[in-house]
Amino acid sequence: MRFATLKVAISALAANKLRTSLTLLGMIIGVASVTALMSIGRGVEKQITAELQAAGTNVLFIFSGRPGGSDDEDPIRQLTYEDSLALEELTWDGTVVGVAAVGNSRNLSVVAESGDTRVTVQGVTPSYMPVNNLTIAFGDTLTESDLSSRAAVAVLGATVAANLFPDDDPIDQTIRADNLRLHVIGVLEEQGGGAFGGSPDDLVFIPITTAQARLSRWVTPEGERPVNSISVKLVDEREETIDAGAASIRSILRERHEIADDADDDFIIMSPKDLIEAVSAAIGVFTLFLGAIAGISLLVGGIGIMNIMLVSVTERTREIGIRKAVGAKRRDILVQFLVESVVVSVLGGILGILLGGLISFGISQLPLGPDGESLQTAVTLDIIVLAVSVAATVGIFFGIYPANRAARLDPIQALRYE
Amino acid sequence: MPETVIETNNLRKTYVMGDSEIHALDGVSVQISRGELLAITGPSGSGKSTLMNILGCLDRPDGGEYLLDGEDVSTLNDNRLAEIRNRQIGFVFQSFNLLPRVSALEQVELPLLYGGGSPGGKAARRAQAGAPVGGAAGVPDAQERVGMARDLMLQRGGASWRDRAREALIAVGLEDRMSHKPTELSGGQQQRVAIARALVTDPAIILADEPTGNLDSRTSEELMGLLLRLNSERGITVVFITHEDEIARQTNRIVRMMDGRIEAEERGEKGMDTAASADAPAASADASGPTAAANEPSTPTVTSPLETRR
Ligand SMILES: Nc1ncnc2c1ncn2[C@@H]1O[C@H](COP(=O)(O)OP(=O)(O)OP(=O)(O)O)[C@@H](O)[C@H]1O
Ligand SMILES: [Mg+2]
Repeated sequence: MRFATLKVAISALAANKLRTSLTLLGMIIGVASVTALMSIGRGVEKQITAELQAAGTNVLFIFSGRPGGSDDEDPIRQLTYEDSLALEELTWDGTVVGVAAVGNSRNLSVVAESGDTRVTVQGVTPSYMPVNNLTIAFGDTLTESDLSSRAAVAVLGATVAANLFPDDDPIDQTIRADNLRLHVIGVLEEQGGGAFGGSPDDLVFIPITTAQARLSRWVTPEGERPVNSISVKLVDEREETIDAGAASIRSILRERHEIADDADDDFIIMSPKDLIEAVSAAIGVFTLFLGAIAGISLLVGGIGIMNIMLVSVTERTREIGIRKAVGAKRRDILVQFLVESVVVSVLGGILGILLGGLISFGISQLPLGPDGESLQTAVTLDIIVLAVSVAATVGIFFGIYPANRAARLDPIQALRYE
Repeated sequence: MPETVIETNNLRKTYVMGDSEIHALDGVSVQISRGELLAITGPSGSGKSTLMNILGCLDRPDGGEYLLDGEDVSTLNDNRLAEIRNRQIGFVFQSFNLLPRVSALEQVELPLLYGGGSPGGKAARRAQAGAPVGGAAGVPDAQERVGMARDLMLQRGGASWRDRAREALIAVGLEDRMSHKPTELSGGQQQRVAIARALVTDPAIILADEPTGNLDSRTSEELMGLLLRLNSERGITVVFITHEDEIARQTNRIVRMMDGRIEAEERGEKGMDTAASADAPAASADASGPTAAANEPSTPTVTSPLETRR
């Protein structure tokens, strides 16, 4: 393409500033809404991924259920506290550094002297804190003796502590959850995050044995105590370590659950990578969905371009005739009009990304959550690339018909056009 | 034998309007030699513009043959026709046909833009030959123009598009109007820009359809003078349509059209003294009287065909 063609296109656009800016506006709005909406999706994805990563990428997460693709209809055996105890044997060779079980959690209203709040109370093993990289800010953490004695003690998440004891030191205070009186022994460091699905800040942790004795006495047919999930922390995050860990866990659990050789697992072992991938994929779909909705306005912008280009071709029929008379070929005219529409759409795309980025920043500053949390947004490179390439495609797609119409004009008829 | 640049045989162009047919061209055969200066006259509606548009490759005939430089144009595709319009033929319209809002210099650059050829070339050779057209009143004379063109040449190795456009504008006497837009130019000046545009790719042929039709008589004279000089000084083949007998007479040959046919051909006052036609061209040698048109054999000479006015 000749540089002169670009110049011709730009001067043609400059000759009709109002019209050009209105067409641009259509493009800008389309691209800005795509950018802003998709940035919300990307922000959420980033946030959740970061949380998962903070929890440690060397932790395997095990819960009950059939792996994807299994059509086994047999009832499954629930994961139990006894399973987690059995997995402890893996710590002997040093590849596993901790096994934590999370019992059935219950949402209870918790009352203290200076306040009350509704929180989730979760029974955990003492290893839960190190396995999930949680550290104690004040006081003590849960201990093995708390576990064996089914002690009525609690470690509070940072937010819970702040809500229940806005002015006082929570340590050694007593809180009441339903009919359960708990002695506060520690408060966790603030972890942050958790906009979508439970941050440890909002939880109250008690020994899993206490929870089983006082909150949920349900036992499996085998007489074991069911748990929600088991987390296994490995010594490092290398792929071999993770694969080997998962294999050992699998063989222990299959044996304990008496699963026949040809039957499927009745539990799912998820590596942090799997988890992040699964979450990203789900959010990615959500992001694309947002983008597609916004894409409708981009389509409208594109139709605006086509409309203006058609008007422009009709208006400039004589000009096209003159250009052809002095030797312009079809391709020259085609390129001239195509460049015009692509210039509008790409310029609109760039301005739209800027506006979308601004909107996205604005959204991230708004207190949207119940506690005034804001929604994280992220204008990532892939959004920019997508928006610009979609804009250029729209320009070409909606520009090609008018441009082709111009290019095919017969010189003498074009010259005679009034 | 003078070289024939344009030859048509039995050209036809028919427009269908509803159920009536208009034979705008009803078998036109004409030969034009290199370097010839030819006027086409005839009453309104006789098919002059139709013929001119076909000769200029702006339009295609419905029948007959058109050989340009020996090449059968009717078989060429649109791209080749565009190339011919760009390089071999310069076309000047009655209504100027300049681009709106574009400076004179850029108007003249336009054909170069679509030529895609290397800057320099013929234009450079021409400037060295010192060929700018001689002086009209109030513009630099030939000597000065040659100087100006040389100066441009010295500043560069080969001529850039801009320089070639400048040269063409100097040649038509518009050196002080280069950045003017059509609305800032008089009619005569606009037509000069159009001639410069026709000239800039150094075509062998210039076709002009009533180039002075929209201009007053004084300006017409100046412009016709310019076209005649392009013919005599640069050897460009010039074919133009006019309704003015006086102007038509200043040529080598006058072709008179009527109802889509060539009614008569007549020798102009300029005679056959151009280099190209000096050695007795077959096509127009027997021009002691008007040459009989192919479709009207041996019609007695129309004694004063050019007296028929619009
Ligand atoms: N596009 C067209 N559709 C129908 N008829 C046409 C068309 N163009 C020209 N004609 C007819 O063809 C005939 C020749 O037209 P042309 O323009 O060649 O005449 P002309 O000799 O140039 O006349 P003038 O001196 O008025 O310019 C006229 O009768 C005209 O009506
Ligand atoms: Mg005419």
